[in-house]
Amino acid sequence: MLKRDRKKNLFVISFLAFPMFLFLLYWVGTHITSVMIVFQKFTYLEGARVRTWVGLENFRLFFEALFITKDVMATAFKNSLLLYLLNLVIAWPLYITFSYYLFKKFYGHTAIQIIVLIPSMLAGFIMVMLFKYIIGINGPIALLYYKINPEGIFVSPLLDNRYQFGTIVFYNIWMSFATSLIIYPNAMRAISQDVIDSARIDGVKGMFMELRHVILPLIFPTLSTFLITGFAGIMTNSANLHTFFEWDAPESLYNMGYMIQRLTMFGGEQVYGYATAAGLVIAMFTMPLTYFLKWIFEKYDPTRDSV
Amino acid sequence: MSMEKTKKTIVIEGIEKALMITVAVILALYCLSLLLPIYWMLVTSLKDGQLAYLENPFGLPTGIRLQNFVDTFGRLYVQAVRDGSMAYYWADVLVFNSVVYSVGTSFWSLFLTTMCAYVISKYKFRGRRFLYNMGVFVMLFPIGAELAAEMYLRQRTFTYNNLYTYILTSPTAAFSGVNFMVMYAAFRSLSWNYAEAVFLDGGGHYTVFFRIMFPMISPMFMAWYMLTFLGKWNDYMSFVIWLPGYPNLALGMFYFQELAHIYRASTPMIMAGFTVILVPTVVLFLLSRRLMLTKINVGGLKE
Repeated sequence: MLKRDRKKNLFVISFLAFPMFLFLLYWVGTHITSVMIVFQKFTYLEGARVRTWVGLENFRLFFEALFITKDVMATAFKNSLLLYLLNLVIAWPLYITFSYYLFKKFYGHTAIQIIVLIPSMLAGFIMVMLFKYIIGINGPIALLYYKINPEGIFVSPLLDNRYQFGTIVFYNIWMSFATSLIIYPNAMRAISQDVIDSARIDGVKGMFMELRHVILPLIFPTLSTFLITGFAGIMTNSANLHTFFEWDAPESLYNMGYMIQRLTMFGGEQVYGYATAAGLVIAMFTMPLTYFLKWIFEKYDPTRDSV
Repeated sequence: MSMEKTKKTIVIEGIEKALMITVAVILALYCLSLLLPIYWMLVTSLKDGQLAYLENPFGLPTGIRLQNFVDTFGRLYVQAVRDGSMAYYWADVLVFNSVVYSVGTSFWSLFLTTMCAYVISKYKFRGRRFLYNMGVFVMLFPIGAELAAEMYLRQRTFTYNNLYTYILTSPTAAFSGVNFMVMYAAFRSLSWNYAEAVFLDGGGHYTVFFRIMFPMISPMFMAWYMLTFLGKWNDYMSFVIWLPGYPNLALGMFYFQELAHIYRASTPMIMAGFTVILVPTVVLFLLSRRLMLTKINVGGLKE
């Protein structure tokens, strides 16, 4: 019995040891490093790196940028929230409607499911570049414009500050359907036909009733997982800004994901403390809200009692 | 298949029918909007130079010109610093880096995740519940916002700007994330009786995992592997941030388009490069289409 237990324990340890090592080194380690460097400032004097303890200076600079000077950091913060909200309001109802359409196997459902996977196949970067090229000054739309209006001057919506943010939002929503249109229809298909039949006997008639009273409650765990993880990533999503503009995006388009990437890549170690302060404050902002969201979803999960 | 006779029959009439037709039209337009750029890319990649493209930006090419592909790969290079010295990396190296990174990272991270999911779902040990909850916590507390701290740490642990150590250490939280949740749920649904039968036959825990349990979830593993691979093949940001000395094909094409005037690249050449990047992903997708469309499912966060 003891030998059997020892073998089992060794097996468990052998499977978990390396992942735990990586976790401790790079996840826990990153957070410990954050706490260490957030109170420091690195400067270079005659080629030598000098480390100075600056107390809460990095936090002060971050909050000052956010609330007092309201510089690009405030814009980035606002844009990150706006991107998430717009996605929630515009895209989520469409994800559900389209998924239900595919689940019910209406016209062309197989072809649609294959085609919507294209953004996943091409992934962000090629689609972004194609999109950028197509609406750019050398792209086919510009050429078409000049054929119709030879005297006019074509301005790409990506270069016109009236349409830049809208174009970025449009692109990110346009490309966001692939995962949802695989996962939600699959979650719907996992619902037992008996449940649907019983609901029908109980008076569920028509699509709206079926969707509202049967399908949505039963796929709620899947929906809530994506809503929660989407919220958790709200401040790390860069909305493909680097692919659109490399490191030269207009400041009015900055979001927190892009902002922190840019600070880290360009600022060097001199701004690591400031960038980390921003990251830590963001984490402190999103973490309790994410947990609150998770708690709410679990409390009101319609499948809770049936499991 | 008509609107009235769907597999899971439900009567659709009146306003619901009209709405579903509207949805069908919107979906058709959406699909068209996804296909058109691809069509334009393929057609343009075959055109005979910049002039042919400018004269006829949308139409089919007058003749098929494969020279664009040759020209693109003859001119594609990335200048990068590795181990303190600047070097030019040509297309063959870029392809090599892409293959090593996408195959290696996808497999390694998913395999470690599968191992964690298996023991956490099937074995009772002290800390099991803590690990599961920690996984959920990590999922909700993404590390991306602390990029500077991770950069600082990786620069000091030899995993910054080193393709192989980066791949090896890329799964920083293997017991977290959507992949983990999926694998965890898959193992939970498998009966432990299979393992008991193996133990009776004298087999051990490794036999149970590698011969019984893993093969049973392998279709799901393959589906998620394909999905992860597609993402990694097209990933260039990791190379910008973590591996600047190991440029891959995606990064090469990114610069090729951004700096087209330096590479003397015409629009058809750029599109030829994009097309080549697309080929492996399309082939893989076609091979695994059924798996990807049916085996990818995600449940809730609660254990």
